[in-house]
Amino acid sequence: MFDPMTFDHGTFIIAAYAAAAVILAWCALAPVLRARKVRAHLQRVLSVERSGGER
Amino acid sequence: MKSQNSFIVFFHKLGSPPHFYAIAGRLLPWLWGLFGVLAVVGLYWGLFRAPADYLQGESVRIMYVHVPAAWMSMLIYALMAGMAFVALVWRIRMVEILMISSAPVGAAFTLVALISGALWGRPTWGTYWVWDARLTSELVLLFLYLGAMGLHAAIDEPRKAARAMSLLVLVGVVNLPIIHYSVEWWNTLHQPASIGVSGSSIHPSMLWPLLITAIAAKLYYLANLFTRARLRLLEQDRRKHWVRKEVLAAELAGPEMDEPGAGAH
Repeated sequence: MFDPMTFDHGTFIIAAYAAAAVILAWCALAPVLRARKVRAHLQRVLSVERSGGER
Repeated sequence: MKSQNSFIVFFHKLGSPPHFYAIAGRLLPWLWGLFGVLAVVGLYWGLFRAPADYLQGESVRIMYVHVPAAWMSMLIYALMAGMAFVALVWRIRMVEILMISSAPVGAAFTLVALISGALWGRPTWGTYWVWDARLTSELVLLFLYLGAMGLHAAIDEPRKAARAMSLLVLVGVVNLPIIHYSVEWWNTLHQPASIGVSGSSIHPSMLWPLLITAIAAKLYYLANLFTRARLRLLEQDRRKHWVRKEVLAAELAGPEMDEPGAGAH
């Protein structure tokens, strides 16, 4: 069994897993954060349009 | 016959943005959930339970990240090429959106394959990088992804941008057989494929976690693709009635409905 405290080449293994985690997490989160902004913007536009229509 | 017709109707509906948005929204929690479970199981198995290699030692554990990422980098480009062909011939907008949304995910997997490959190369070959055929053609694949994304971003009109990107993707597909056969055509530092159509030379104790992480990578691609395609639809169709209806429904349902994947009915 792999033990991170007594490994050989452990730095390379941990670095490879960490790089993969960072890149794939960023790739997954970026569209989620962008979608939140787009939805918030669309909600603002719609509320402005509705308040304009009521006047 | 009836079930065949309903399947055709379902497939045709996917070409309609509001239907795709709704169906993808319902699938997303399942795809992300299944990906999470398989990724945890596969990586735990590969990192802590699978045996070390008799030659490479513990460094072989990088395989459970590197190999699925390298497979996905090529698979996503091949799928993009298929979508580019369909987009150019039949001009289906939904296919264009799926092709464009695939590119960042493919680029991310290619980057993971290159970085993890370099980190695997140092302890096994004694160097992070050599300009051999496999490594160089994989780097060219990353540039193809970045070039396609850059070309699309440079053109304002979305349909024109998609057509230009489709052409570039189809030209770049020539790189895929070069990547795949580079280890056979040229004398490279990179080892030949251990898994092929005729079988595998990897012991089952290492093969199973590898296959699980490979399936997890495919689920990640699908989930990320649907998330990105839904975002692109929101942006492109923001003036259309169905998007306004969708945003209003999310507003009425409360802040938790802001999450992509939710609020599609």
